[in-house]
Amino acid sequence: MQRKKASSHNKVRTLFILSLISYPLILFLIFYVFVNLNSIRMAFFNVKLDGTWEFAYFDNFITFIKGLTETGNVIGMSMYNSIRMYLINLVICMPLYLIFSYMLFKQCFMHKAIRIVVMLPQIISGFVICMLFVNFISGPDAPLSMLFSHLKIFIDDKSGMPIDLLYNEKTAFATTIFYGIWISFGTSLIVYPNAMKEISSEVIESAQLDGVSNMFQEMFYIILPLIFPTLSTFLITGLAGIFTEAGTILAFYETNAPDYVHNMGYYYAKLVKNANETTYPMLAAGGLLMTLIVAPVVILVRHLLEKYGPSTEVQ
Amino acid sequence: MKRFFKILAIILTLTLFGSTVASCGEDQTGNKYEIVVEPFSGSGFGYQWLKDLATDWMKDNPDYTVKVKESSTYMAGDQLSQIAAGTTITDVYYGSDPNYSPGIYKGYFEDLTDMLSVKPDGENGLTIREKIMDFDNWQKVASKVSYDSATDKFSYSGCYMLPHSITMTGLVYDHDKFLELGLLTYAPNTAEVKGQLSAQGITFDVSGSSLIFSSSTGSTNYKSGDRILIAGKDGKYGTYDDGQPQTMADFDEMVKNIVAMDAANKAFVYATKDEYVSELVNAYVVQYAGLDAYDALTKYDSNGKEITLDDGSKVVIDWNNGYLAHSVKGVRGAVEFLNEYFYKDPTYYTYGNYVQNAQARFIAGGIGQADYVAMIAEGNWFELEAMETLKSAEPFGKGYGQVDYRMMLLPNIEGQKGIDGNGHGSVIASSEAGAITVRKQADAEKLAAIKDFIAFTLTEKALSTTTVNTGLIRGYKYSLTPAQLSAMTPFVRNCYLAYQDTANVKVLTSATDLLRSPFPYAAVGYMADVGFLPCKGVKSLLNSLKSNGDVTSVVNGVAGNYSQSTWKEFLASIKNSL
Repeated sequence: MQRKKASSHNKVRTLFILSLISYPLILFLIFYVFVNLNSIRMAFFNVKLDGTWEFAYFDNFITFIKGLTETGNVIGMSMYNSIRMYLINLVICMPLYLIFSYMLFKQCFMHKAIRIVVMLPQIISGFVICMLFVNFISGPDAPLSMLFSHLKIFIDDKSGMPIDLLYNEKTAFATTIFYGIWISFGTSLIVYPNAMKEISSEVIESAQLDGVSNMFQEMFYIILPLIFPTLSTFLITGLAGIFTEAGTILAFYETNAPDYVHNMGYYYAKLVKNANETTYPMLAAGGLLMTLIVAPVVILVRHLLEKYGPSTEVQ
Repeated sequence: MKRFFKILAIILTLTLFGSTVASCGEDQTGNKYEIVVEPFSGSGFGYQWLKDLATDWMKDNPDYTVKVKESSTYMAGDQLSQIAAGTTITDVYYGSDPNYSPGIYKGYFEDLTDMLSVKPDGENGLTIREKIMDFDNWQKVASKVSYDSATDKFSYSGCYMLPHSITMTGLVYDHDKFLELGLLTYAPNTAEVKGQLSAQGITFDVSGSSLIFSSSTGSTNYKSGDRILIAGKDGKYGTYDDGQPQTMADFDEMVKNIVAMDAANKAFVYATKDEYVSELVNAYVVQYAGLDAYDALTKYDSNGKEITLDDGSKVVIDWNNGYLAHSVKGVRGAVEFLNEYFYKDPTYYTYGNYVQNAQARFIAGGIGQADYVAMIAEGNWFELEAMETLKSAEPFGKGYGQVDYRMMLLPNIEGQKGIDGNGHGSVIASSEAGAITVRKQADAEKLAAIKDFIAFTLTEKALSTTTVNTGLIRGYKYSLTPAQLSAMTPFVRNCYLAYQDTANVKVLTSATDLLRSPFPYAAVGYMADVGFLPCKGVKSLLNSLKSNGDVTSVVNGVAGNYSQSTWKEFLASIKNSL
């Protein structure tokens, strides 16, 4: 009787667990396992317009690599921009985020005002903020263009018009990066200060007793090592997404961005939207190639960070 | 508590699986007699015209219900995805764009070849094939292209689409306001003009140097007492293009006069997002370089004739050297035109990010204290799309149908080939041209009914009524009675008359004409959906000007769209794909 009850209990338990995990599991199988396997297979085939597949050996890989190496080809430009984006994020954005986060953590002068200012774009709809930004900087009647015109700065030599930051070859990429940095401040200023708040005040007091005398030392010798797991997570996920991150380009230009602001994420998003299935094999081959580059790098970086990064354990 | 969890588990499971099944399944009405029709509702033309036709058809076909989807703004690409995913119940598409070709190859659509011999207006009427404007051209658009590797030849078969709509894009102006401001040219009091007027059956009075309209035996748009304007491209007085600038110099003078009248005046307004100004560039290039150059640019085949390139060399374009077409002579002049009036000098123009902003600026221009804007780069859907704005302008006499808006033809460009190859005529470009397709049907009876419904929408009465009520021009040969013409708003009438004046005006339908070759949908890496004159790297010519700052860079950008090696790859990928 007891065994029967236990068996019935187990059945109900199993049913409950199944009901919870079966749906995400099915989604995972379809949208991750199947999609990836299909993509790998597709990389070696040509898809005809009637939907039939024809084995293509390495033709799609060759087409993608040709695009990568050909001067002026959008694939090469996209990859270059993706790498630039990651490096800029790593070298400029991350230190900035950390410094600002530390200032907030230390409750510096006007820290509440700073928090509101950087959080504001997060509160308002992303689309609205993007529209405001574009209308502010782009077009002959944009306030910034009028300011340039009035001050006679940033005037294009050839046309005599104030430059349009979103369409000038020299400024467009930088503008998208600037917007990306500005808009992602809000998220970073939640994550990092919260990680810093986890640090026990005793640790900081103890560090001060041990000779940490200024904010610089405190940040570099105490705070950063202790939030290193958060940092390394950002570093690794950023690196893993280096060729899938589209940034704000889609929001700025829809699918009509100039080639010189393309990155890989945007390039793929645009082609999947605009092109038909005959283009997909080349994209699949490119995806596979990029995975072959990124996956080992991510694993290596993760290994190095784990091995050589500071330990978070407080002795 | 256990019981609660058990019930919760069951509910969760049912909800999750239920929602999955519901979202993946087709929306079945279970009624085999229902025909679902999907027009594009995002344009100014709306869907009411199709609902009206469906109601009329159902009167004679009571066994069938035609359901018109009222809020579809899907383009062909989205509709193809829906068919692939099995998430649509649409039977017939009246698409605003014709890019259904990839679906034709996948067997999504019915071959409508048998419909071509149908006579919608009865035994004495024309067949659908005869009704279609330039059927040979259309057949290439609507066919499936096959490639025979043994003979290295391409062939066309079937007819999977029928024409739906043709639009016109150009500079729209308020004729009466132009008259008030003296921006149009009056007919001179010369013996030649008087002779022409008399030959046209127009009687007039002479008042000094002016000729004043009195009456006419034929149809004109003058009222008694109107001062007669010079004839337009059609050489006739009292038509849609009277008084318009004849040459580019006249046009320039008119623009300068507009801005000279008041520092706040603008000659043009356009929407930066929709970029109808690009259509002016397209029209300019074709008017200058001729229709063989247009074929070279849109089907990569100059019909065996030489076209002149920017460097002065001449070349016959075919699928093997199609990339050279973008170097055609005329692009430079067109980009200079764009630069001169729509980019370089903001004295001439203003803009809105979206069409609604530009429309509001144009309609309000000159009312009360608002600064005057003389012309808008818009299409023949302008009035319907701007209906709400026009309603608000009604108290000022600028409401819907109250204003004699007209489309300004491109003036003669020095050295132009025109539409006849001899320098005559104007070109109007079109940003949109739609197609009708029928999704593959399992039920032969229903398919027959669908074809009958489509044929009904192509009767003389249906075609003309649609144009009268909406301004939507259908891609067929049909005519309007004088009563129907007078029932139209002045703008719709003027556009229709310009479209009908095929001897003097060529309306380009590049959206469909590009599909005469399989490059747009079968060549991997081809820049589709960007018109026939994109600029390498930036696509849009206006953005290219912003980007490069000078005309030469843009011209080089257009010419450099595709290299010889890229083009070879295109051809190879087409052969692979077909």
